[in-house]
Amino acid sequence: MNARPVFLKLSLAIFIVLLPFLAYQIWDVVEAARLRSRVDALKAAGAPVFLSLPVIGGAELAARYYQAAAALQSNDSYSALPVEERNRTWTALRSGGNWTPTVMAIARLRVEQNREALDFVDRAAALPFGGFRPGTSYNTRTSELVQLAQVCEFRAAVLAADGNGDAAAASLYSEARLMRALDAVSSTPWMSLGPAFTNMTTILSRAKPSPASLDRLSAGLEALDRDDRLKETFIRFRATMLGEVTTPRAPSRQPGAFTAHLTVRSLDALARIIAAADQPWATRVSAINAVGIWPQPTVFALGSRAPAMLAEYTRTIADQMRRIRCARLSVSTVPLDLVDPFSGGRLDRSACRL
Amino acid sequence: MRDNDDPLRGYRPAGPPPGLRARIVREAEGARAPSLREWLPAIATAALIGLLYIAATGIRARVYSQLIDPADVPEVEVLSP
Repeated sequence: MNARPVFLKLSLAIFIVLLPFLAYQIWDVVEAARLRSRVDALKAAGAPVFLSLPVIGGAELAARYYQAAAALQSNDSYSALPVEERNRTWTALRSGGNWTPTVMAIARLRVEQNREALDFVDRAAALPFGGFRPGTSYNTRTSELVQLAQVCEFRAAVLAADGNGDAAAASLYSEARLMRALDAVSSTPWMSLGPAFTNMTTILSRAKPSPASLDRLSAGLEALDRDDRLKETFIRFRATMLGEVTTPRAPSRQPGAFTAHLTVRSLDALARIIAAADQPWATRVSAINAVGIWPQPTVFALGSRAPAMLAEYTRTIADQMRRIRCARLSVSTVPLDLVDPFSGGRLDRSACRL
Repeated sequence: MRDNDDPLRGYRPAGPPPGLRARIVREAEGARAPSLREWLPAIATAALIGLLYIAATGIRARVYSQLIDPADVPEVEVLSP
């Protein structure tokens, strides 16, 4: 038997086996270089590539108060209710009416059980807030903050029913200020959270707070009403996405080159989305939706649902803006000229359902 | 003697050509020890894969280092023994 052809065959076989790995490594280098070019361009343009906390006096303390409030939040009385009772309470909270004696009793109990947490929410409301320190998050904090926003609304309804108008307005102010914390935690691209302010009109009509309380609440809402909220949200979305790319979550079976490819694809899409978010309101939402790419570096972003996911996310943020503006219209003692994020026309108070 | 042997009567047995042994031995040795040339494509491919891996990892590490807030470095308290 001649040994030479055997070696030749073996080396050829190994060479052939190595070729796909070589092709992958070439692709990996190309994608890594593309990612570098995009990140370099972002940095050169001065765009944020990571979320950083602005240095504001007292902001650190406010973050700690919100952390404490979230940790103290109690949902026991609500969880113990039958499903029908919970549905009635939820309907009252979301529809802005139907505050039956039973619902009010539940609201009182929830407020009583969250007295300490609400105290921290009120203390944080008076302070500037710039976000939570990295590494301080935990799984249930977001839902705890959302629950606290609801409890603020419950408290406002209870205080309004008790005829304490200024305190009811103060509770709504705390709820509005709590949205800063919700903005901070909802930078994760999967969600956009915020108080619904659905009971504001009902509560204020019952509470009849003083003009000074209304002005304070109005100022709190005005601070939330940033015309560039859509753009800012997507800029935060991008910074969060880049932060998550650097921290792969095991066990991730997605090859690095593929992740880099999807990240570049997402960055390109986000550049178009952020540019579209600068358009006038009349075309802003539709221009963003026209991009049609869900900018996430996962294989799910390639599915046929991607355009719908982007449209739904954009709609949620625009709806949040509309709610803030509607709340401003219902609180302000002076006429306001505000734009409807969906139509681009003047937002009329009669078109609001708060 | 048979008639068949008559045509061979004019020939005599002869040995192999003088260079044949050397050729056979050389070929046999060549087959026993594979030459580097045969393995070159596989070795070069493996080396290229390694180099590209290092290059991609290096580029990614440089990119990722830009995506971390320098202020995020956790504070560490060192206690003296």
